[in-house]
Amino acid sequence: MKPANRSWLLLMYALLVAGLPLAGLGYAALGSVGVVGPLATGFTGQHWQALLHDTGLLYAALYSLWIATAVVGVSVALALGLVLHAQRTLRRWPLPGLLYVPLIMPALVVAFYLFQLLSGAGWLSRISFRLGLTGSPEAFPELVQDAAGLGIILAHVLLLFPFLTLLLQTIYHESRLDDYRQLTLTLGARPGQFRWRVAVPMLLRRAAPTLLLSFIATLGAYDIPLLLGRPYPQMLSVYIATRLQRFDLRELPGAYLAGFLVAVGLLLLIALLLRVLRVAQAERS
Amino acid sequence: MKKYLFLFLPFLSACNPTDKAREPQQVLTQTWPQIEAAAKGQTVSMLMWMGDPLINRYMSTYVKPELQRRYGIELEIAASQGAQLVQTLAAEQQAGQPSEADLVWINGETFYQLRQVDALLGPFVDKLPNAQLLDLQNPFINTDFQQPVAGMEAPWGNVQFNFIYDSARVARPPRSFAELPAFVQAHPGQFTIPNEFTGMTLLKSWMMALSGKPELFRGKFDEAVYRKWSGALWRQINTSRPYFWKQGQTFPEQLAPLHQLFANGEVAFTFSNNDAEVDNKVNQKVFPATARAYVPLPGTIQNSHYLGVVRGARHPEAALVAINFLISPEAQLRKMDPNVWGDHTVLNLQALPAAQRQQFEQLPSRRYAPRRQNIQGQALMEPDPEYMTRLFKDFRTYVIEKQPVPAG
Repeated sequence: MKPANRSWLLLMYALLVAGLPLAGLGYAALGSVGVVGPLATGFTGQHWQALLHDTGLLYAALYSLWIATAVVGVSVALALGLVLHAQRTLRRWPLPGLLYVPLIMPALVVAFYLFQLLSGAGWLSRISFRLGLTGSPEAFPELVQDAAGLGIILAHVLLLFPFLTLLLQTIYHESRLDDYRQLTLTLGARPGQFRWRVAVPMLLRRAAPTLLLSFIATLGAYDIPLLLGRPYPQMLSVYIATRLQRFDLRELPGAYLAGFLVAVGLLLLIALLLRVLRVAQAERS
Repeated sequence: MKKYLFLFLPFLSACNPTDKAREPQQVLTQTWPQIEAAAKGQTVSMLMWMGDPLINRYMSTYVKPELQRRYGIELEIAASQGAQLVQTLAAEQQAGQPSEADLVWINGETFYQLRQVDALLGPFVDKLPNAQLLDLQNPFINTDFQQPVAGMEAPWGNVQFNFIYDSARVARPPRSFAELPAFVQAHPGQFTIPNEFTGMTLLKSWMMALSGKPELFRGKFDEAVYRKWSGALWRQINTSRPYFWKQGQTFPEQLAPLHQLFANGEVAFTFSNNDAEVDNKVNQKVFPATARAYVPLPGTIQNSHYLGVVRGARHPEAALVAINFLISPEAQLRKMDPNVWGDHTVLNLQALPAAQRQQFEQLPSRRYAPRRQNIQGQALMEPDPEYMTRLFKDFRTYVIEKQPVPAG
């Protein structure tokens, strides 16, 4: 490729990948101080001041952090459990094939399916009522739209853990962990020692960037929390979208501000975690 | 370089100099035959709420082919409403671009906001030949959330908020808002409030009922009236909340999930802004055949929905011709059939020829919804849009987030 063409491609790539999101961030920042937007009235700091009295964004951030931590934590535990304890099963049909099934399902479909299955009037509730396990369909435990976000966590775990299992399984093979296992056992280590001191650190270290991306993707998820979550507290994306879609256009600057702060927060989080990973890598090498 | 030119094509086509919006006067000074002639062969882009399959079916299987057959107009429909629609049109205006939309389905706060950002073309209603058949003397049709329509939007349909309940599970539903708290307490888990437009209409009607004087809510937004009666409303709702669905710990964010809870038998009540919706939902077997609709005393909000033309429309003539068709007796008659949509007409039936009037009167009657003439006396006027926006915000603050209600 000629240098001129390469420059053009790089420019287009930069515009699309970095330019558009940064332009959006700039627009949100300007909107939050009343400079742009449908009812822009000129520069004002009132929306930043109002945020101090609005606990909604803080609760949304804390709730999102809880959900993302629980989702990634449970998914990693399940995936590690399968890769380290069920190598034979993982290599035999049908499990490898079945692991791909959730990956082809859109998030909204999974959320809707779980809603039909787990809601108060869902299949499980009806079966439980018919079997006499519960006195009424309403007596079935709250598994969706519940206070702890169990439904949201379950839906995300269903989508994420098969992907992580396939990823960790690939790393397991590429790192020749079976050979290491034989070696450590020959040298007198117990299977548990091999798992915790050799396999888990190696698998997690190599999967760390993907785990970080999964964490950020869960933080910003929309479809699943919209259907399976409560109106309060809401996850960040639902909180911002709700404010953006309210009837009152005067709410827009507040929504722009929330979006701006969340984006900046995530950028800082990514920068911090990448730095930690780099330092850890440097220490190891 | 040429091979990358395709990347810019969308931008180039958007800047086609022959495809620019014209000043409203250039459009509106034309005669109707000139407008019809200009509309022929044009494509009209319509933005509307697309949340009901029956409405979507009416538009795609009746309106779209009829516009093509009668006027050679191609109708393209996309989903957009409320604040999203206002933001889209305002952004196009700020960019100085002609709009991607020609025709919009609006009412209430959307109309108010579109007028605030000057995004509507008009006044245009007088230009429409079928406008002479509209019931524009009716205050529930000529006024949109206390704002005179003033020819800036054409009435399209008229509806009244109603309760829908399952008569197999509830023998005697609360006949008034005054009876509602005691009923909810006696039947825990059967009632909830959707946190969206229909739910806010419920809250408006409930607040007006609590005041005992719906006329207090006429005219411009009154802060003192709102604070007094919304405070009373939040206190009453919070007292009843432990007896709501899921102990009032959560509320459906959309009407569709509430309809589903009702259809599944998880709750005994749902609501509709369309007084004939229960019939079309039972006919579709979405609701059980035992579902019934009624209007609690002293009454509920009745309002109309409207069609507007976008100020920066590329095809304003086609939009005007489409609206004229949508308010024609043929299109209104079909829309009013509960099997099609069930949207009450905005036409003055007395202005129609006897044969056409008879067709409206002989429509398949409502089997599960109350007759219109029986609830007309319980119709409340829509208050100023500010009441809606404040209720929406305060419902979240004082009910969902459980912050203390200020002393009234």
